[in-house]
Amino acid sequence: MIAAAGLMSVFVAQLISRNFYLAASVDYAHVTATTDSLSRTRQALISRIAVLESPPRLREAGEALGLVPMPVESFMLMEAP
Amino acid sequence: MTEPVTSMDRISARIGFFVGVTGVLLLLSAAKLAGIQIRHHDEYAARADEQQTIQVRVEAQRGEILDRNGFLLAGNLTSACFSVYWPNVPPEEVAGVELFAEGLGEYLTASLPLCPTGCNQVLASTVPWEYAAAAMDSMPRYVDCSFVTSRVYPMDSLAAPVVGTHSENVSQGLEYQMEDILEGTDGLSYYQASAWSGYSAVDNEADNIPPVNGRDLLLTIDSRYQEIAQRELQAAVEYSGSSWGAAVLVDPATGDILAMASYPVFNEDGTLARNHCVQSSTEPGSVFKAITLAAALEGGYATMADSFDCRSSFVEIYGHRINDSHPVNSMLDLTGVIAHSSNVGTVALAQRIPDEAFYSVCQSFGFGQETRIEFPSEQRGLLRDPSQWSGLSRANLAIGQEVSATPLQLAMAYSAIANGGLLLRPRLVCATLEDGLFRELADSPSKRVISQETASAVRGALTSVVEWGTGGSAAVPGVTVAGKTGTAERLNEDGYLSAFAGMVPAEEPRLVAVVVFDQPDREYRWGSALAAPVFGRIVSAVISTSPEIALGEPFSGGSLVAQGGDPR
Repeated sequence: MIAAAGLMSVFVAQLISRNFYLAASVDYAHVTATTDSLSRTRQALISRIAVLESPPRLREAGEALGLVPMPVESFMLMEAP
Repeated sequence: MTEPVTSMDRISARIGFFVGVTGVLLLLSAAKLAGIQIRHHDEYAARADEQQTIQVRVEAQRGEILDRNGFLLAGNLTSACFSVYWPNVPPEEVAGVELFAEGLGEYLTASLPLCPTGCNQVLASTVPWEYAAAAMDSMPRYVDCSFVTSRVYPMDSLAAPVVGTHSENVSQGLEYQMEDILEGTDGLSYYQASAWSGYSAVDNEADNIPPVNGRDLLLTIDSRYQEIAQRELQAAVEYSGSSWGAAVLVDPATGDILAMASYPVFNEDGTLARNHCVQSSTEPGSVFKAITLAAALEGGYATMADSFDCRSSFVEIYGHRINDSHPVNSMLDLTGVIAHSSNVGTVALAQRIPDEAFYSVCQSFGFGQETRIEFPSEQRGLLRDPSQWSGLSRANLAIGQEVSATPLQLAMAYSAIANGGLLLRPRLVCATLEDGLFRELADSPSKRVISQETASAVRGALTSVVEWGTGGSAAVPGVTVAGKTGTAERLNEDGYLSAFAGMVPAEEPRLVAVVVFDQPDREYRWGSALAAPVFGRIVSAVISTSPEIALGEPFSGGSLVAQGGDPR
C-alpha cells in the first residue's frame, strides 16, 4: 500500500510539473507572438521610413518647398592658404 | 463459547474491509497507471503526439538590400489576409463578422452586406501589417487571419534595373544573382495543440528547427546618383525617341558601381526589361578611339606630337572608303585627331599598330570578355581574333566598328584610363551582413593595362575633346571634364548609337560615367547632340549632391558603413 501511495505521489508530482511546464510554454508562445508582431511592425516602419526618405520623395518634397540642390556654378574652388 | 460481536469489532471489520478494498483499488490504479506510463508508454506517447502536435513551417526572412549609405532598396513587408469559413459561423455571429468586415475599410475586397453562404470567403487579401495588427485585436473568433510576406522596393522602378524583382516564383536582376545569400532557410516548430484557441504552446522537447534568415546585402550603388541617372535617362529616351538608354557611373579608384540606370525599366507585359548596361552590347563608335590612342602610345607606335594628314575627308582601305563625319581639312596632332574625332587621322594612326599588338591591348582593356560583375546574363561583347580579321578590320576597330561592348565594359575601360592604367573588376556588392556586422567583400586584384604616362596622355587628349572638340556639350561648369563622343552605325540594323564616355575631374578623376542611347531620332544621332549633354546633366547633378567629387576626394560611403556595422 505504501508502494502504491508512493507511486501515486510520483504521478501527481509529474502531473503538477507537467502543468507548470505547459503554463510556461503557453507564456513562451505568447511572448513569441508578441516578438513576431513587433518584428513585423519594425519591418513596416523601416519600409515606410525608406519610402519617405527615398531620393525621389525628397526631391518632390524639396521642390514643393522651393528647395533644390545648388547649381554646380555656385561652387568655387578656393586656394589653400 | 464464542465472544459476542461488539460494535467495535464491526467497525474494525468495516475499516479493514474499506482499507483492503481501497488498497486493492489503489494497487489496480497503480498497476493500470504503470501499464499506461511504463509498459505502453511509447504507444500512448505516439498517439498523443499524433493528436496534439502540430508541425508549423516558420518562414525565414529574405535578406534586405541596402545602398552604400544604408538606404533600403529592397525589404520585406508583411500583409494580412482575413477570411471567413461560413459553415462554422453560427447565425447569431454573422452580424459580428459583418461589423469587423466594415472596419476593414478601404482594404475590404468582399462586398457588403456579406452573404453567409458557400464555404470560404476572403474579406481582405492584402491588409498592411500596421492596419492588420490593430484589426486583429477586434477580430471575431470565426474570422481567420493568415500572413503573407512580400518584397517592397522603396525606390520603385528607379532602382529596379540594378536590384531586379523578386516574387514567389521569379527573381530577376541582383535578386536572382544573389539568391543563395538573400534566401534564408525555413524552420520548423512543433506546437502542442490545445482545445482552447490561443493556448497552443511550442513543444520545447521536440526537435524545433529555428529559421535561418537570409543575409543582407550592402551595394556599392548610391541611391541619390541612381535616381539622378535614371531620371535623366528616362527623360532623354522619351524626347529623343531612342529604343533604349543606359548610363553607368563608376568610382575609378575601386571599380565600385555608383549607379547603373537603364530605360525602359519594364517590358510592355510588365516583366523587367533587360539592364542594357550589362545585358546589351553595341558598336561603341568613336568612344573606342581612346583605346586606339592608348594602344598606339603604349606600344610606342606614336607620340602625342606626331602629325597626321587629315586634309582629305576620307581614307580608302582595301577599296572601302571611310569618311570623316566632320571634315577638318588640315594636319592634326594626336590631340587634334581625338578632339575632332577624325576617322581619317585615327585610321592612319591604327595603320602603325600591328594587328596582334592592337588586339592585345583591346583584350587587356576587357573587350570581348565578361567583366564578372555580380549580375546575371552579362554580355561579353565581340572582339574578333586577328586570325579572323579582314584587311579592313584594323581600320574599323580603330573607329569602334567590328567590335561590340556593353556600356559597363566601356566604363571599366575608361576607369583604367582614369586611374592611371589599372583595369578593375566592377563591384556591385560591397558587403554582406554576417553576425550582426557588415563584412566588406575583398577587392579583386587589378590588372595594369597601360602605363601611368599613357593614361595621363590619353586623359589630356580627352580633356581637349570637351574643351574645344566634339564633346563641348558635355562640359560641366566649375570642373574639367575629359571624355569622348561616339556615334556608331548599327551593324545589321538601321539606326545609330549615340554615346559619351567621360570622367571628372580630368586632373584626378573620381567619377567615370558612360551614357549610351540606341536608335535615337535622326536629329539626335550624334553623340554630341544627345549622349554628351545627358552626361553633362547627370554629372552636374551628382556634383551638386556631392561637391567633394569636383575636389578629387575619394568616396567614403559604403566602406565606412561596412566597418561601422549595421547602418540602421
